Amino acid sequence: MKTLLVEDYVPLRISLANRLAEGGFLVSQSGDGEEAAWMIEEQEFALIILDLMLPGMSGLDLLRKIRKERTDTPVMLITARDAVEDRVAGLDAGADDYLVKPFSLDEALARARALVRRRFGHRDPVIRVADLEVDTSLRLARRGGEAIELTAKEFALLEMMALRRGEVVSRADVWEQLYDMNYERGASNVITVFISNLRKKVDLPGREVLIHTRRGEGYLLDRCENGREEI
Amino acid sequence: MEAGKRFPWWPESLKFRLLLGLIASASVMLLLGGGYFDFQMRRYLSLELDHSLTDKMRLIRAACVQRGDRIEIEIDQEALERIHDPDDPEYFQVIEVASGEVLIRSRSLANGDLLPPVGAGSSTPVVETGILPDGSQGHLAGQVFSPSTGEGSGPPPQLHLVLAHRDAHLAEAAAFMRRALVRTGAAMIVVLGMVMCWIVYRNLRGLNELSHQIRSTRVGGEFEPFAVRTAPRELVPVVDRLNELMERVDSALSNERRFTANAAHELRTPLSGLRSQAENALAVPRDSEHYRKALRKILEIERELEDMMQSLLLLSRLDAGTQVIEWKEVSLRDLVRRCWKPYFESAEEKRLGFEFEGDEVLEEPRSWPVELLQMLLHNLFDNAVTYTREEGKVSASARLNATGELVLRVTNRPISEEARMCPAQMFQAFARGEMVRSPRDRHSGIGLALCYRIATALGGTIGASEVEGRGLTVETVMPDPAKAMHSPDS
Repeated sequence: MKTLLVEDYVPLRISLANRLAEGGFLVSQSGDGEEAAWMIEEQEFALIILDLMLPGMSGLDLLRKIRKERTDTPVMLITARDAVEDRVAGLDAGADDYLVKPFSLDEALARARALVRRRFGHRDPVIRVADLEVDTSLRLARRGGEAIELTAKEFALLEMMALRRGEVVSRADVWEQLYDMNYERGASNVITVFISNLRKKVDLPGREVLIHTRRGEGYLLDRCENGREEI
Repeated sequence: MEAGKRFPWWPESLKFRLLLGLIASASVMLLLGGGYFDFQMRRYLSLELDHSLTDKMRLIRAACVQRGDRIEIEIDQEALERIHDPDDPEYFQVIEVASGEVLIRSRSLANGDLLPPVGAGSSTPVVETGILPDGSQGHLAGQVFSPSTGEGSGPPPQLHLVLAHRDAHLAEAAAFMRRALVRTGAAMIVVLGMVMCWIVYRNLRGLNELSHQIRSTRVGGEFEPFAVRTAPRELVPVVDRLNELMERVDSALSNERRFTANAAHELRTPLSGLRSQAENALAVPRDSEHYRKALRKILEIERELEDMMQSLLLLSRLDAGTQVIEWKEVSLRDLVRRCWKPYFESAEEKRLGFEFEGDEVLEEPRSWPVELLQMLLHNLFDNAVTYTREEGKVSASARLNATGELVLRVTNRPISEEARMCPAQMFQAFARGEMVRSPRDRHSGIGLALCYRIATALGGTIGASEVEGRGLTVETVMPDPAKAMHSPDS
């Protein structure tokens, strides 16, 4: 999931970005409020992690701008201000979560995962589609109780499809959410290859097909092709 | 000593003190007034009695006539009735002085009793109090006189007239008056007490209201100005001053809270950096180069924290007045150059020019409060470099003015947008706390506040001024070092 981390204190930003990346997030970073505002305008993020005191534009102003323009992107504030009035101001400005510095990276990661899950309407960290289980906290996938060996990118793709179960995930979405366009360049068929590899690992022969292709639209993960059948 | 400590019965409430004082004063006044009135009344009654006696004496005297060798008393019935009241009889006697013979005496003098010889030898009436023959207390008047003479009479003899009257009626009248006075006085005290209660309660209402508001004011809570609707004129300046002081206390407490919150904030961010570096390094097994990098970063952050702690400690010591000012002999020009050195690289990076102008006399070593001056210059240069736009200029000057004061100026131009703030706020700790940071800013936000405290601790002043096109100048004026070194504060 593509996440924007906005923090001007470089040592913290780098550590948190690394930890989030290890947790399966694709992290874009910025140390400046104005630059972050521009990035948010240009790209779709599944989560924004925002410091309050920033150069260029304060975190609170940026948050108000985000809420004015994009209401559904979860925003987690990270700040050293722990007074009740600061928390209230942050949450009232539209933040979904508030983490006070110094915090544990694992806690930040868990909260980030929870926010993303909640955005797609899931409370349980384990998303089930037929006999497929996608554990978003342990980053494991099982089919019929057997673990599926996936690369980090493959798990991220499966997680994205599981979170949006029954919805068509376009190739553009996959590209945007799983690839850092600044650094990763791939052939135009890279997503097709990816999906094909994932299918081979998830939809084993003799098992119910869960990954479906919608020609010209994208892919969806569900029990049947139309994606409306419930488990 | 306070009255309450000396007299345990003395009430603590101002209301009761006033009431007690007023009622006690009124009672004493009434008592004294009553006593004086009683005394005067008794005196008046006594004089009236004496006057009545002398009046009756005059009647008896006029009634005595010598006819030949006889002395006759010619008194008409009306006069006799005036003299002789059967319910309250007069006592009188007329004695011939030469022979001592009793010529006449009243019926009230029974059994040959005689009145005391009051006024014997006096031709004018003499009045005295004394015991009458029947043992009662009375007023006596006496006089020696010669009767008028009739035809063929010889020289008149000397007669001694004594007239007396019991003063039982007088005592009764006085007692009656005293009782009336006591009753009136008691009633007046009750009425006065009630009136005073009303006056005291009514007039202390403003004070009561203020006292209630002060009692219900919570230190640290949101301050509501005191408002007394019925405040007397004398209380208005007290309320105004109190409001002013409470506003200052409120503002000081808010500043303290903001300072603590900001200090915590500035410490938490690098602490967060430290923690995240360590957690990140320990999250999964990594190669040794990764650990080395993490440790280097941790050390860097630790130095940052250490600097901040030093600044906060110095700020606290300067605030508490416990910072020791050490004087050392150095050349001020060298000191300025030394302080600029750490910022040389950052200035080069931003292509900033630097120039220093100083009086020649400051090249020679002199005694300076080196540590504090260094801290001051470091902070001024740090701010100047951070908040000057690329290819700008930082200039410093140090001069001794006509009165021997050291004038240090640091000017930077053109200044960045982030540096624009009210010069009055500039020297407050964490003044930028609520504002956006400068892109290069990892400042704690107490640099200029420290400069202010340092200048003040050295007995000087500091101020900032921004002139369009000429940049921002921070000017520090410090007293003549030679004088300041020997001042008691040093």
